[in-house]
Amino acid sequence: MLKLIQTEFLKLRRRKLVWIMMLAALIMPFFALLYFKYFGNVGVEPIQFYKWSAFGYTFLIILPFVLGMLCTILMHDENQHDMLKQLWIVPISKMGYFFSKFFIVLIYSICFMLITAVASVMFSVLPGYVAFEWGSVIFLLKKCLEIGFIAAFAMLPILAIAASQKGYILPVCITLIYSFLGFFIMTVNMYLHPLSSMAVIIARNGDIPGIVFTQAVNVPLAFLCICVWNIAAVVLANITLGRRK
Amino acid sequence: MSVYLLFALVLTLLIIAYLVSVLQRIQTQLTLMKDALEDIENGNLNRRVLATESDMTRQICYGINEIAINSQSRLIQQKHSEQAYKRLMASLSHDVKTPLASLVGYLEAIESKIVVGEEKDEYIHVASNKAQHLKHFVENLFEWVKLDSGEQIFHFEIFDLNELSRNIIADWIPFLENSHFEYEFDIPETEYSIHIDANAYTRILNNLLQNIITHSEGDNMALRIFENEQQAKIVITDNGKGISSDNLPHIFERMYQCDHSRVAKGNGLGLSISKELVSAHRGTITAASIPGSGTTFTILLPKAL
Amino acid sequence: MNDFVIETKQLTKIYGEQTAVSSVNLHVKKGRIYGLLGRNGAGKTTIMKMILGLIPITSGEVDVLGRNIKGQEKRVYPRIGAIIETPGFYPNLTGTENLEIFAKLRGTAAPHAVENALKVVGLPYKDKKLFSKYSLGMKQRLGIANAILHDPELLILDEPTNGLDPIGIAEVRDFIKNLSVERGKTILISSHILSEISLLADDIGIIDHGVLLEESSMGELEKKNRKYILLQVSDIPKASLILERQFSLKDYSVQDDHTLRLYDTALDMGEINKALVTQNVTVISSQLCNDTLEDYFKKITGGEGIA
Repeated sequence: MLKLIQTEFLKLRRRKLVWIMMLAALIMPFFALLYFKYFGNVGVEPIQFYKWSAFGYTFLIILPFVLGMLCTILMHDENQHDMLKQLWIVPISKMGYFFSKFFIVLIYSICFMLITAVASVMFSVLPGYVAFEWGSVIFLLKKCLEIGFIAAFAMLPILAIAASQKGYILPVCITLIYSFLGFFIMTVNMYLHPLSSMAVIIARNGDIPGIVFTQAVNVPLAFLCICVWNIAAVVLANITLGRRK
Repeated sequence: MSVYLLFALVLTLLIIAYLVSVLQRIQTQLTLMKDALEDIENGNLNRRVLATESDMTRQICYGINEIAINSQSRLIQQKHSEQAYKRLMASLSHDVKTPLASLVGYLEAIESKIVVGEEKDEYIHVASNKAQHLKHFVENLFEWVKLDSGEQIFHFEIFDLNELSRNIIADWIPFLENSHFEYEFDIPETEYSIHIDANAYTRILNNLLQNIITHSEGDNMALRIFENEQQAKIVITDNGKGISSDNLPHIFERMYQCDHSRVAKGNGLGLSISKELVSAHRGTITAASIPGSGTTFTILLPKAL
Repeated sequence: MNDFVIETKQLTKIYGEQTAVSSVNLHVKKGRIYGLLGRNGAGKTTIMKMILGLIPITSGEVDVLGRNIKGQEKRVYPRIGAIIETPGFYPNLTGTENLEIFAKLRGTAAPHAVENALKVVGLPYKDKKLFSKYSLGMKQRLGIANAILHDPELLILDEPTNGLDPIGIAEVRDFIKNLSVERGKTILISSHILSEISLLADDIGIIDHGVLLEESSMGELEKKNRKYILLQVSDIPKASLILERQFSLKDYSVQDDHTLRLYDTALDMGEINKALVTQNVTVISSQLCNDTLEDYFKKITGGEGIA
């Protein structure tokens, strides 16, 4: 398993797209910068800035989409170049293969959120909109780590779908639908979709402004939702990888 | 406080999980090694134990593999020499049986007075030729066996290579003319002293020249000698039909004959003997050929042994 | 223990309505090169994939290295090296990096395995060239390097000379032959080119429309292939005398006490028989053997030929 993960990292060498996607982490902090510059505010509450830069669209739309793309790239690449049959006769276990890919997604997701956090702090403190204070920075880092960690799990179904498809169009489309669905379903029932459940877990203490829940916060139920989706995803991956040669 | 405790606990659990996985890895490696050792013991010398750079058991695995590889290559070598021996016996039976059968046929015809007078004389002549051929073959064979088993004793003395070569060639000129060959010799006039067994050297040239006359089907040959401080290079070329690239690597093997049809002109031993003799002088013999336009044999002999 | 490294019993594969492989009994002997010969689409790749357990078997059995591969993957796969169809690798990595991935996953039998494997197939080690820039021949070579990376006992090579130039084909052929002769590997190789197989294989299986038409050793086939006349007579010396005197025949050999082989097939056998009989040599039998391999394949594949 350790070896599989190591080789997964080796395989990412010279994959420019994967690294370019990391830059998406800077989009929202940058918009936040523009936003606050436009209003010319100085001495904003740090949380207000971070709400824009890290807790808004970044983790509800951008991160899921980037992770979905990553899942598709990771799976599609080996499919396209007919590598799987060579890997199976090494042999490597199909689930080991799936989880090593997931591990990459997990690490990537955490790195993505850390970059967002660092960029948020830099874009807010350096122009002088926000006074630097440890408390809010640590809060930001903690939340970003949480988001990075849970988002990877919430995207596991996409990885499973990418694993089951030979092409890349369908997984990308499903990623789009999946992300937006997570965004819109929040107003209906938060515990149906992993992404909205993730939002529940992140904002469980009500300390993140801007996210308004229509239902009572129920963290175990949110975890259960992610779990159910993940189990379904693993089962799907197991079946399709087992069938596909 | 409790956060740190939790953190420490998680860390410890992770470390334990890691150690358990390492142990498991070693355990599977050990079972694989046991499997492989049993297999190797049962004679499957191709079995290998695989290990990665990071495995603790790496050295042992590689060690086992090396032992298996070494005994495998020894075994295969043995098998090859056995096969070569079998081939030798098989072709022997052909090379002796066929001329012997027809020899007996001729002699029987003479004995039972089927042929008389001039025809009888001709029969005797053919029979005698066949007997000569057989004798020649058996002599060659013995020489080759002697060389192959390392029983041949060489007498290395200092000779003038150029002088020696000229003497050998002088004997060949009538044969070449009889076989309608144009020839060209380019041997330096100077003296070139070299440690050599004169008989062996004569044999080498004889075999190569004989080979050209019987097999090349050309009408032009050349022998050139180039010398420097370290070694002498003897190049013999013909303009005959050449040797195809399929056959070229094998021509120095004993009993290898390019024309598979059984027109038994040679005996497949000449080049093999030449090679053995050249290597007894610590020299090399190589052949290059362009099918259809000729063959070049190159002998390199070191000046000092 | 039997000596078959691969044995299939009634191996069958049906895709929907179409039977791709039907009741194939393959026997690959230890230390030999087995050539699977058949036209494109005859079912060679399907058989190899089933042997490797890459596609499910419709019915029948496969034994590889004395084991049923299903459920024993971890013990059997490390002993096999294979190329199936065109080998795929990561286009964003160099050849060396690609092999290093496989070396890491699979383990190797000796240190510096990647370097050696590349050297053996004639590719540079630590080259900067990415796999995506490789020519088809280089890709094929890398595939072979990957197949031999862990020094396996059994090689399963599906059309390994595809895409190589003539010199490359000869090189790979020598190399494969060498693996078997010098290192005792067992090799299953497929090809649609008759000459390729006849130069390499010790045993040969001919497959057509998913059916194994014939399985025999190359030696046996070659016997059928040489052109000669087999003459059985009562008295060899007398017969050879007659042949030499009357027909000025030199191209013959004595097989055993009663058998002669004449390599000139243009002879008039009637004349020879008559001459022998009138001179009191009993002719037990005379038979013309002049099937070429190609004729032979045409015959058994029903007239269409192989290559």
